[in-house]
Amino acid sequence: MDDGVAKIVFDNLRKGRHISIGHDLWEPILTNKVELVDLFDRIGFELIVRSDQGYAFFKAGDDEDLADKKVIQRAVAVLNLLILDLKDKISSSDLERFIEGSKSMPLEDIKLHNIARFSSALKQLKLKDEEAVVAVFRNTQRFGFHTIEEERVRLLQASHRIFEHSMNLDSAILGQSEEE
Amino acid sequence: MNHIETLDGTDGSRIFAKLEKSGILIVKENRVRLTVAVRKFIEWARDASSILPASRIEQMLKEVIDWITEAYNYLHSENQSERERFAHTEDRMEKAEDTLSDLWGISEENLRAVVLASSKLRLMKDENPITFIVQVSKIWEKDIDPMSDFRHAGSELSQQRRGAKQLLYNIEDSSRANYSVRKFASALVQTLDDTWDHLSYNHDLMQGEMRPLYDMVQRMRGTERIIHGAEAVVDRLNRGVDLGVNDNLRICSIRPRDLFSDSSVEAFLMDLWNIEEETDLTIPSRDSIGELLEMRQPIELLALLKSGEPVNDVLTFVLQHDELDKYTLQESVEAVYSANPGVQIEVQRDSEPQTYSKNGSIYELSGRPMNAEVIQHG
Repeated sequence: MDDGVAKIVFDNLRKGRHISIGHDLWEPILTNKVELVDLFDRIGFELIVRSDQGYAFFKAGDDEDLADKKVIQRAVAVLNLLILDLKDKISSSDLERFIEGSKSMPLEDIKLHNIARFSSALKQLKLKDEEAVVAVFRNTQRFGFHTIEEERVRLLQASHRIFEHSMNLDSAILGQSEEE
Repeated sequence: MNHIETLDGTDGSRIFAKLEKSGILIVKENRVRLTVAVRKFIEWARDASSILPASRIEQMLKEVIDWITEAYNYLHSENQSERERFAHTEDRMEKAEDTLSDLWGISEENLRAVVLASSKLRLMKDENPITFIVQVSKIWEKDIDPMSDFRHAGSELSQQRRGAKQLLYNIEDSSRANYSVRKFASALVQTLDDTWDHLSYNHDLMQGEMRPLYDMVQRMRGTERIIHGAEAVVDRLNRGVDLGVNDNLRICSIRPRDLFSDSSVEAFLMDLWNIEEETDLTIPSRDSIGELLEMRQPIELLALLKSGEPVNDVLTFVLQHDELDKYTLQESVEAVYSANPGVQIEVQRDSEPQTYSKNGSIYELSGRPMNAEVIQHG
C-alpha cells in the first residue's frame, strides 16, 4: 500500500465523511481494505468498509469522538422527509432512481414546510423555514450522504446508511406496537 | 340456457333462477350480467390457471417416474401371467407418456402466459405498483423460481429421473419383455429426455422474461421499506422522541484533544506503516561470540582439588595456581569463601593471620589460613 493512502483516508474520514462508490478514494480503500482496517484498528479507529453496499466510514468508538448530535439529527431528518415528500410528487420509478442516486432534484423544489406534519417535525429541530432546511442540505454535504451539484441534490450510496437506520426505527416501532 | 339444455338435458331455467337468487347474476332490462365480485373472481381464476405453478410441474414429473417404476415392477412380477404383465407394463408406460405430453403442452402454455403477463405488468408498474409487486412476485416465486431447484443436477427429482431412465433401459434389454414393450420403453426414454429439455429451455426463457421485472420488484420493496422508515422518523420527531443517532450511526468527529497536532498525527501514521511487528521482550543478538569467549568462567574449587591431596592453605593454593593466573584476588576469594558442595574447608584457628595479595590487585586480604579437602561420598 502506498504510504500516502492511509493519511488521505484518515484526513477524509476523521470528521464523519462517508466515502461512496464513485469517489476517487473508493477504489484505493477497496484495494487496501484489509491493511487500512488493520492499521486504523491499531491506533484505535474503526474503519468500516461495506464493499457490498458501496461505502466506507469511520465509526466512532469513544463518545468523545462523536459528531455533533444536533447536526446529525438534522441530516437524518431532512433526507427522510425529502423521500416522503417526493413519494407523492414523482413516479415510483423516478423515486427509485433518486434513491439509487441516478436522478437529482433541484434544491429550489424542496418545500418541506408545506406539509403540516413535516413542518411540525422540522420545528422540533429548530428548522423554522425552507431556508433553514436548504442550509442543512448544504452544511451536511460534508458527511457524504448526498451531494449538491448545480443546485441539485443527489443521493450518494452512503445515504443508505441513514435509511437503514430509519428502517430500524420502523422495526422498533412495530416491535413496540406488537408488545402493546 | 337452450344450449346447456341441448348438451346435457339440465333444467336451465332452474339453474338460472338459482344464480340470480344467490346474487351471482344480475338481470336488468332483459340483459344478464355478472356481479363485480364474481367477475373479479373469474378473472383471478383465469389468471391463476394460465400459468401452472412449478410445484404442480414437479408433481407431474414425479407421477411420470412413479408410472415408469410401476411398469418395471409389473414386468418383473411373478404372480401374473405373461399377457397380464405386458398389459400392465404398457398401460403404465402409456400413462407416463400421456403425462409427459401434457407437460410439453403446459410448458408451452406457461411460456406464452409469462410473455403476455410481462408485457401487461410493465405497463402496470407505475399505475398500480402494489398489484405489480403482488403479481410479479407470485409468478416469480411460485411459478418460475422453484423450478430452478428441481432442475438442478443434484436435486432429488433429477436423481429419480436418472433412476427411471435406468429402469426403462432395463425394460428395453429385458428378456421378460416382448418386442412391443421393449420398443415402447425405448421411445419413452427419448420422450422423457426431450420433455425434460423442453421444460428446461422454456424455463430459461421465462426467467429471462421475468427476472428484470422481479429485480424491479426487489427495488420497489426496498423503496417501500425506506418510505416506512421515513414515516418512523417523522413520527418520532413529532412525538419528540430521540432519533438514536448517537447509539446507532455513531458518526465520528475525531479531534486532537490536545494530544496530537495534525502534523504529528500525520507523521505518526506515516511512520507507523513502516514499523515491523516486534515482541515486547527481545534479547538483542550479538555481532560475534568473541566477547563471550573472552569472558572468564567462575573458579570451580572442587574441580581444582579433585586431582590432588588435601591442601593446607587453600587461598594460597588458588592464588598461585598455574591455570588461574588471570584471575584477580577478588575472584579467588569468592571461589574459596562461596559455598562449595563436595569440599570441606576448615579454618586453622591456631595459626597466625596471613596477608594475601595478587599482582595488580589494589586490595589485600588478611585472614587465617584454611585447610581444604574433597569429601569422598559413599
